[in-house]
Amino acid sequence: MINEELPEYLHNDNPFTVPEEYFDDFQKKMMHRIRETKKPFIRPIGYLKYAVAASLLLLSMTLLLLRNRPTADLPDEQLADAVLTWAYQLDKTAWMAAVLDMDETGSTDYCCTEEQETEIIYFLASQDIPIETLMQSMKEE
Amino acid sequence: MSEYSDGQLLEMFGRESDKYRAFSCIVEQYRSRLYWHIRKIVVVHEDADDVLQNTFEKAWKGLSDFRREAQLFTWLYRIATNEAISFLQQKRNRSSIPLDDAQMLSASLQNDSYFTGDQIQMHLQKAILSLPEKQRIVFNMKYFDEMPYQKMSAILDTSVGALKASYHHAVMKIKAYFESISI
Repeated sequence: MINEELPEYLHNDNPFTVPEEYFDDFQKKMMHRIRETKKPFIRPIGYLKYAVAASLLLLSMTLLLLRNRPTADLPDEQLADAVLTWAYQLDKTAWMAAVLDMDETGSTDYCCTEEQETEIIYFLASQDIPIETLMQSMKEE
Repeated sequence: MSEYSDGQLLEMFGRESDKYRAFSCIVEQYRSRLYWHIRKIVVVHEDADDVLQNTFEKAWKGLSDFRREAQLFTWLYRIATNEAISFLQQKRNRSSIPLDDAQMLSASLQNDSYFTGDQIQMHLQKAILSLPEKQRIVFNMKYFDEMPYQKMSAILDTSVGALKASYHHAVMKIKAYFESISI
């Protein structure tokens, strides 16, 4: 009896049972089921982080080169277009997966449309702000 | 089998060649505790078996992302609790007759061939099944499993104070139930 407020004829013995050999059978059944399922996906986020960092570095360098080039006094919109074209040559899925913390099924924590992806790249192309800040503001929206 | 620590199991799981062996050890180490936790929520053995399988399958898929801030035990219990609650919701939704958990589970209990308790234990189970879901889970973990409030707090993500209050309310209702019937 572990609670004095309950009637004393009550006791906390387990009144349920299981079929004979249930737990041994369960072990076999479960491991069989596991082997039938795909191997667990190990999110290569560590590598993707480096890929994103490298991409951003390249992106910044491209912007810097374009902005500093004497003949490249392009309007902001054209500059962003140029960067956008360049950015899409990267592995866009892997890049966006890392940015949006996408899982192996391709779903994200929040909806991200094609337009939003483009907006991210435009935004990165024109702003000198940390990626974390950008993603936070997108999430808050 | 000797018990492995969470750290040892996770380290083993991290090695590609030992992944299945590590998971097999996790199943062996936790199957019984998780089963009884689930069984007290869903009542019927066959349902508990389904939920337990789903729990381990989720654990298998999620273990690579498991962060060591939580204990493996806590994490598995949390999955099991959520799976059991979702299972009951789905079962309720599938039922053609609108029943609440207490009615649905009491009916299951009457027909459960793996219930070996006496009449008093049957009444106790019925009293427990009449409690709100959270109180029911808290009462089972405290009364039957004798789990410390700190552990329950980590699993159920609820403060110790709130758990104590839930348990107290549950005890009062069960006491009232037994006062209303003649044993």
